[in-house]
Formats: sequence, structure tokens, C-alpha cells
Amino acid sequence: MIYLDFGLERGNFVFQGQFSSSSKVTGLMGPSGSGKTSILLALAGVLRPQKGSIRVEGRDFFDSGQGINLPPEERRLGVVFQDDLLFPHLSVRDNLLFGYRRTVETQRKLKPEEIFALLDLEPLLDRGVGDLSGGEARRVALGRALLTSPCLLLLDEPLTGLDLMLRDRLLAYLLRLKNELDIPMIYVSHNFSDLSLLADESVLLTVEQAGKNGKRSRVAAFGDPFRILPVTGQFSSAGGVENLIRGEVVEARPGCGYAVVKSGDLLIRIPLNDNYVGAECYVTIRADEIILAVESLPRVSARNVWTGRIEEIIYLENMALVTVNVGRKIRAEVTLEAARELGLRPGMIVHALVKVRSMRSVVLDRLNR
Amino acid sequence: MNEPAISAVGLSLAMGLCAVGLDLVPGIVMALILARRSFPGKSVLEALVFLPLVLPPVVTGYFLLRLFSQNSFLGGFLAGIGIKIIFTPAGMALAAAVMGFPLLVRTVRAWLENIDPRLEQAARTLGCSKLSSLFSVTLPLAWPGIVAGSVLCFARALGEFGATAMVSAGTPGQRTIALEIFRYYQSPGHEETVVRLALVSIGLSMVALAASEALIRKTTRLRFEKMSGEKP
Repeated sequence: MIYLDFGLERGNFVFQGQFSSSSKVTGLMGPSGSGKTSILLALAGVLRPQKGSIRVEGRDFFDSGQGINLPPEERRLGVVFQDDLLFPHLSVRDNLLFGYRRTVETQRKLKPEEIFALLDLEPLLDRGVGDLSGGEARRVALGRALLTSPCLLLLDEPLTGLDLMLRDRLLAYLLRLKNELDIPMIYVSHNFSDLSLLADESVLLTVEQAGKNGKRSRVAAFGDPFRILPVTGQFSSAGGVENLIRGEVVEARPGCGYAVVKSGDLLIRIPLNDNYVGAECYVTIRADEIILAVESLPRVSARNVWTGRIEEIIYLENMALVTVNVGRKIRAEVTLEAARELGLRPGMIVHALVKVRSMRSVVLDRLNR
Repeated sequence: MNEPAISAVGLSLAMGLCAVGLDLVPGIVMALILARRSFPGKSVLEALVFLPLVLPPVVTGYFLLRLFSQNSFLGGFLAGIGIKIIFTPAGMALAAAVMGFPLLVRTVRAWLENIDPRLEQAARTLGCSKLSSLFSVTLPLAWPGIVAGSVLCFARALGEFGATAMVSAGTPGQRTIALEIFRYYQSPGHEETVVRLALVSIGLSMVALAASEALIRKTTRLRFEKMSGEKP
């Protein structure tokens, strides 16, 4: 159980808000400048709020009324910083064991070997942090934080700065952590898709510009998702909206040129690659790769044609984000003109078309190699 | 080389080591304060620390004389408990330390300012107290700066003339290389000793420089090897 309610002022940035969550993974989402990182730093004890209280798993971290402010080293939170912050003077192994060595023996719940195996860190141990790739460094930072056996893991945009391939891999690692470890996480992101896959519950931050005493300042608070979208339009520029679907490979058809993934009642045809039947996999479809048609097309090359009802349309600056329920919810991105001409509206039946080539997939078992 | 000249070399080396010994801890603390803290009056403190760098050394020596003379409050108190600073080797070491202090602080501070302070925050979240994050992250990263600063401080103390001359009694045993060179140079017939002492001081400075280079390179290489070492 995480409870926070505090006010924080930093330069011309003002944050005031409260939320509580008892989910395993809580998403924290908002446009840049909305104070996502500040909230994490306040939780970690690196930044001190002006007033309010923070309580995690029954322990008071901060309470301005009672004068409580636990120093970071006593909070036992694992933090993965946006740019990793690995120690440049230590080897990967010493980085990983940095927190472990400083954790009281009775509190060490996770063993180094376990974490090394979970995150495939063995081959990196004797390297210097200088010659790690972006994805490797992120995994080391993750392992380093986990080895303190934290009571809560704070992840600050862990997928930012990684290319698409690495993002998928790291996402799979995070899913594995979520499934195999009993550590709640707060996951900061400005990307729908990671959150929809990882987070059980998400909190959105709103920002508005406010003139206060003649100074311009940014005021952030926890708010309602649909009020923020049109205001900032950040999501389209933050890597695009993606759909992530978890499923199982049920069939490989080399003769046809695709493999079939089943997720609930939905059949998804994806490129063959080295998929094998029975493997658990994640399929990613970018919202802007999905074509919507009002009438069914008799002969069409796209191998994925799904029919469903529009549940919701969010109008952004230059496009409309349409949520269609085709057995599960997917989001499609269309231009404003297309939305107008097709007369799209909630409740309408549409067909979603996606080419096999537009699918990206990660087979989870492949990580075990 | 004659006996006074040899004792001058010994004294100079001792002065250099004493200065580094006296300056090291306060110098690192001061560098940390100047690099990491902001407070009212910081520029005044900064000016005070760096004053010996720009002041004529003789003036610095004069201030030390006034500060520690038996008529002053501090000097009187020290004399009361039997400690004499002025006109003793201890006073000379102090003068050398004061002169070397700003060089040490400047060098260490420059290195500290290059270290991302968030690395310390990361260390804190990994279970380090403030002090232990200093010792396990910040200072190891500032190590080359600490070595380089110490060598500069040592070299400065080794060759210091003005301030040291003011607090030295000028008796044998209280004459450093620089003081001895000046004395021999003024009396005719000692050209050769002057040249020898000059060569010795050149040699000492070069050895100190080379040693620091080697020390920095060795530690960074050790680190590098440790980091990029292959698994057998």
C-alpha cells in the first residue's frame, strides 16, 4: 500500500496532489514537465516536500506534521533512474552488489545469482560500465536496485532511450520481474503501451501553466486522463501509441508466410521469424499502422481483418485515437479528416486491417536462452 | 654539497610533506563545501581561501607573523600552553601549508564539480549514509584530482620563499632550499652550491610530477583492467 499526499515547490514548478494505490504495478503517467521524476525523488527521500505525508507498506517515510523524514538509505526503495547512474569507477559486478553489500543480512531476500539469472547479467559481470549498451546498462541498474531487496521499486521511464528491439526485450524482462518477484512497483512512463501491459492501475498527472505573482509557473496535480490529452497532445510525439497484446503462438504456416497468435478469441497473424507453437509471446501493433474501414472489403491483402465496435474516440491535435473492441480493445490512429469522412462515432461497427509485416513480436521463452 | 645545503634539502622535503599533511583533509572538506554548497557569504569564504594565491607571499607571511606573535590573542594563548609557532620549523610548515592550500582546493574542487551529484543520490537509495556515499562514490571518483592537487601543494611548499622567509628564524635548520639559495647567492664564492641546489630543486619537482602522473595512471589503469578484464 502506497499513500502519498504532499506539496512540492521547486523553482517555478508546483506540485500538489495525493494518491494511494495497493496495486502490484502502479503506472504514473503524464507529459514531460509534469513532475513525474520529482514525485519519484520525493518518494525515494532525495527530494523533500514542503508539506504532507508519504507512507509506504505501513511505514511513515515523511510527515511534515510529525516532523518525520526518513533518509533515503532507511526507506529501502529500489530506484532505477532515467539515465541509470551506474558508478563509473566500479565494475558491473561491484555496481550490482553495491546495495546488496549495504543491506542488512536478515533483509536480503533476493540472492545475487537469482537476479543475475533473471536479468541475464552473467555475461556482463566483469565488464566496465563504460562499454555497456543502453539496454545492458538499464538491466544492470535494474539488478542493482533489486539486490537491495526493496519494499518498492521505482522505475523512471525505464524504456526511454532504447531502440524498439531493446524496448521489447526490456519490457519482457519487466514483465518477468512482475510475475516472479513479490515487489510492488511504481512505473513512470509517458507511453500508453508499456503501461497498458505492465500497470494494474495508472495515475495521470495534469499540468497547467499558471501565472502566480507575475511569474509563470507550472502547476501539476493528479488528474483525470481525458482532460489532459487534448491540452498537451504529448502522446503522439512520445513515440506513438502502441497496442500490446499477450498471446500464444498456436500455429506456424511457412507455406502462407505467417504464424498465428491467439489472444482470447482474437487471432493475430504475425511474421514467421523463429516463433514456435506453444510459445508465449507479446505482439506490438502501432496505432498508426491500423487501417479502419466502415464496410468490409471483399478482397484485400492485409491478413489481419478484425471486426468490432468503436468504444471511444479521443480527438488529439492532428489525429483521432479510436478504441475498437475486436475481442479485446485496440487503439487505432486516424487523421481528423478520415474520422470525419467515415463518420466515426462510438457504437459504430468497423473493420480494422493490419498487415502481417506491421506486427512486431517478442517470444518470451527466447529470453531464457 | 656541504652540510647546510643537505639539511636544506631535507627541510624542504619535510616542509612539502607537512604542508600536504596539514592541507589534505581541510582542503578536501573546503573543496566539497565550495563545489556542493551554496550559502550566504560563500564568495567571502572563497576569496579568503584563494587570497594567498594572489597576495604577495611576503604579505601572507606578515599576516601569519601578526596572527601568531605572542602579543596577539591566538599567539598569546598558544604561548600560554607552551606552543611556539613563529620562528620555528612548525611555523614554516604552517606558512607553506597556507600557501599550498588554495592550489589543493582549486584542483579538487574542479574534479568534484565534474562528478554528477546524482551519483550520490543513487548511492543513498542503495543504502549509503551521506558520509558513506562520500567515501564510496565521490572521493574515489575525485581521486585523480586529489593526487594532482596534493602534488601542486607539495611543489608549492617545496619552493615557497616569501611567507616562509617571514616566519623563519633564519638559523641553520630553519633554511629551506629556496632560502639557502638566496643566502648563498648573496655571499660571493658559492656559485657552485647555488647551481647544485637549483638542480636538486628541479629534480625534486620533476620527480613529484612524474610520481603523481604515475599514481593517477596506475589507479585508473587498475580500475580499467578490473573493469574490462575477461572472464577466464
